[in-house]
Amino acid sequence: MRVITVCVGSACHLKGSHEIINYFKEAIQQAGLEKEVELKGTFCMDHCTDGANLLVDDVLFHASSIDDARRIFEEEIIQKK
Amino acid sequence: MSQPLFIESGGANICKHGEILCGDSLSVATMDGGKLMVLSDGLGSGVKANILATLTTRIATRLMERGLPLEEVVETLTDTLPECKVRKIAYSTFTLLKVKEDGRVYLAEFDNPPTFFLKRGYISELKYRDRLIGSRKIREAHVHAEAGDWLVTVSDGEIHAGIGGLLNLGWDWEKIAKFLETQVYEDVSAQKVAQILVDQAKQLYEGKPGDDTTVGVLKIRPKRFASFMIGPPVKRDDDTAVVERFLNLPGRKIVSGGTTAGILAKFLDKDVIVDLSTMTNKIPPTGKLEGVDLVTEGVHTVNATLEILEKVEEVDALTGMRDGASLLAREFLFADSINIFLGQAINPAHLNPNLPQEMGFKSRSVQAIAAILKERGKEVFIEIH
Repeated sequence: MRVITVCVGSACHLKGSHEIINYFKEAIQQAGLEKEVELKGTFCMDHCTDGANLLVDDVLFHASSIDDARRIFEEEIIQKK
Repeated sequence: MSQPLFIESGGANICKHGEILCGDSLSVATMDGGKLMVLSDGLGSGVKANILATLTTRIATRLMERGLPLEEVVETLTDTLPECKVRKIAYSTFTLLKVKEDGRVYLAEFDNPPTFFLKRGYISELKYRDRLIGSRKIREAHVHAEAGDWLVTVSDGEIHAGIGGLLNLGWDWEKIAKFLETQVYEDVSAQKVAQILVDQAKQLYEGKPGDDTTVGVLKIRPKRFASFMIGPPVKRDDDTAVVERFLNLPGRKIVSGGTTAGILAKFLDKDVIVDLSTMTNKIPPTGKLEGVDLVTEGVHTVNATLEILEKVEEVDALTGMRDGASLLAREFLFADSINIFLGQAINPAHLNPNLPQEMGFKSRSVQAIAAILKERGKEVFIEIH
């Protein structure tokens, strides 16, 4: 089971974590990976200035746009399936 | 030690058919450690009765608040009320109800129907003592109330509801007493009971009240406490002490802000679980943390809560809303006494010039929320750390 954890703290929320979560929801569904990838939220990850922050399993990533999120999803989830 | 009490109040009225103004007046004032309710029925109906009744409740409330004895209140009323041209008397009835938070009740009635006192859901008889002040016979009673007790006072329009129509002799005090026994329970608000009584009277009058009808309700219940922590203390060394005090206070525990929630989670040695299903476009999701009743994100949620509180006054209006701001507003509206722990540590991310300015307004929003809650009669204490 892979886990994507997106920060929903104040700063990350402003930097689009809401849209990023919605993107991941859709992407997981479209790839038919509901049983393999879990999507979670978390409050502050203590990297507020870099946000929006997210973890793929235990690795920290920063996504400042949906494009970043798409790239992370491609590289970390799809290609490492 | 017995638990602290809170006196919740509610009131409702309907006008005599065809009148625009109600000839009864009900006033509720919060005074040091308790509530004061005054109900008055002015002579006649319409504007004249309205003026008499309003003067009576205002004068009585002001004087009682200042702790003047009943004699002075009654004398002042007799001397001040304007005389009715037709009847050549200055007259209006009154019921004064003073309930302290330690449960002491003082009641004085003049020509109003006897107050209903419900103890553990059943009508309990009040032991009145008559007293003559000037030419007026006043009935006084002292009683001790506990959580779960109710005091309901009505104008005679309520007692006479249906007279000569649906009911030969009107609704009648005893029948209302029985009805009340079926209506008061822990989860119903004082306001709701007042509304039910007035609605019932209106039905008995077949929609055309023969008299002004007013109901005042006092519900004695345990005081509801809430503690709200937002923002980490400026000094990290203070974290543990502040968190310990916060958790030891009675009542609901609410935490806003990711970092703040993190400090509590660490102290409690539990994880914050974010509930993504509560997320909306505007408000980040809420979280769950064992030992805390509500966890929300900080600045956006609080700003949105302020907007809600500016519009909404009743908890019921937020039923079914699941977003963090609505849940936070519910907690504030539900509580009688709120302790706010406002941490002033600065989040470096919020100083980013690219972020909207309102990120820096957390303290201001919290202060504004506190002001609104105070205005609505709640106790609010703010500690800044």
